[in-house]
Amino acid sequence: MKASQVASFQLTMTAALRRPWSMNKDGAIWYGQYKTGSKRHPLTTKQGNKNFYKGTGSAGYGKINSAGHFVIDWKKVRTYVVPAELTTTNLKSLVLPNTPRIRQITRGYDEGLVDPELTWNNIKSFIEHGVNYSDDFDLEKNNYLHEIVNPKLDQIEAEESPIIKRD
Amino acid sequence: MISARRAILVSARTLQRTKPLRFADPKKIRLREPIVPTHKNFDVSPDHPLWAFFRDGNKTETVLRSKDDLSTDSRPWDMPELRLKSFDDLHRLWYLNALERNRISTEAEVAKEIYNGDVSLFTKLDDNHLMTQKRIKQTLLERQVAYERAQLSSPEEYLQLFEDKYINADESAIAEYNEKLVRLQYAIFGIEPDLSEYNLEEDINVKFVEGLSYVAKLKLGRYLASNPGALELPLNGVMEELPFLVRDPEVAVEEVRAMREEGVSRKLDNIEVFAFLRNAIEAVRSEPEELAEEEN
Repeated sequence: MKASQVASFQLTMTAALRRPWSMNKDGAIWYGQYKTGSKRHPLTTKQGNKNFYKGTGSAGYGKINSAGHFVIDWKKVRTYVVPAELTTTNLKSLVLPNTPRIRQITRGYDEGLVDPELTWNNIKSFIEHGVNYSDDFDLEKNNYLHEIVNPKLDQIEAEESPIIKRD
Repeated sequence: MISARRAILVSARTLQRTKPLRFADPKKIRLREPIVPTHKNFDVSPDHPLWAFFRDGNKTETVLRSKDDLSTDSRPWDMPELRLKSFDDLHRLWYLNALERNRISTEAEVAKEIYNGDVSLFTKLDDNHLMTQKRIKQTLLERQVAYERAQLSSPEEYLQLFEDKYINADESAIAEYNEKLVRLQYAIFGIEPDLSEYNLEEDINVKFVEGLSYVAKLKLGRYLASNPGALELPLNGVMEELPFLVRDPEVAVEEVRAMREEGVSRKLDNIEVFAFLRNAIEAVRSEPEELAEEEN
C-alpha cells in the first residue's frame, strides 16, 4: 500500500461508511468529544443547554395556531427573483486572464465615487443626454484609464491658468 | 393501569386472524427480470428545472470536468468593471456565479473520491466566483451610499434653472425639452414615463405629488407665455394639476376650465390626495381600451 493511500484513508467512501472511527479500549464505539486539542469552535445544534436554539436561519415563515395547525405567513416566505434573459445573456461569470484591467480615478470630488456632487452631476447628465450619457469615453484610446473629472475643476483650471502665465 | 391493560387486550383481539395465512405455490411464482439500479433506468423529463444544476443541461454526460477544462486562469470581475454595469447586469452576473458555484461544489464532491480528497483546484475556482459576488455586493453598497448622501442636498437650484429654460425654449427645441422633462420627473421625483408601469400602491407618494405640481407649473407656465390669460392662476391642488401630467397642455387647460365651470374643482384635503390620484390614474389607464372598443 502506498503512503498516500494511507494518508487519505479517512476520505474514501468505504471509510465514510464505517463511521464513527473512534472507539474505546474495549472496542465499544465512542461518540463523545475529544478533551484535548482545539476546542473553541462554534457550538453545533447538538451542544449547549436547554435554552440554546441555533436554527438554520431559515425558519419563521409561519406559526402553529391554537388548533395545532401550521399557518404559513406568505409575506415571510422567501422569494427569489430570477433576472430576465439569464439564459441568453453574453455575460460570463469570470473574466478571461488576458482582458486588460481598468483603472478608475476621480478628480475634483472630495469623497471619491460616493461624493454627492458626483451623483447629482450624473443625474443631470442623465436628464440632459439620456440613458447612455457616459458612453462617450473610449477606454481603449485612454489606455484603460477611466477618469471621472468634476466639470467645476476644468473651470477653475481655466481661471487659474492666466495667472500662471503671468508668472 | 386499567386503560393500558384494556389496550393490550383490544390489540390482541384485532391481531387474531379469522383464517390461517395461505401462500401460493412458490414453484408457480414467476419472477421478472431484475431492474439494475443505474441512473439510465430513471426517466427524467428533459425540461426538468433541476437540469440547471448541470453544466450542459439535459445533455450532461459526466459531472466532473477534466483538470484541463477548468478555467483556472480566469480572474474574478474587478470593481471598476462592475461599476460600469447596470443593476440588471449585476443581477444576472450574481445568478451566473451562484449557478456556477453550485456546479463546482457538485464537482468537488465527486472529485474527493477520484483525486484522493485533493479538491484545491475547485476551491481556488470557487474563491474566484465568491470574490466576484462579494464585489457585486460592494458595488451595490457604494451606489446605495452615494444615493443616501445625495439625498442630503436638494436640487432646488437646478429645478429653477430647468424651469426657466423650459418656459423660454424655442418651438423647435420643445420636443427635446419634453423628453428631458420626462427623464427629470423620473430621476428626481420617481414618476414613471409610462402610465402602465405605475405601481399605484408604492409610486404614489409625497415625492410624486411634489413632482406633479412641478410638472404642472412648467407646462402651464409655457402655455400661458404664448396664450396669456388662458387660465386663472393658481391651480387648485392635484385635481387640476393631474391633467397636465397625462395630457397635452392644450387639452389639459380645456379640461381644467370645464372642471371649474361645473364647479367640481376643489382643493383636496391631504388625506384625500393619494386616494384621488390612484383612482384618477386607474381611470386614465382604462380610457384607451374603451376608445378601442368603441371603434370596433
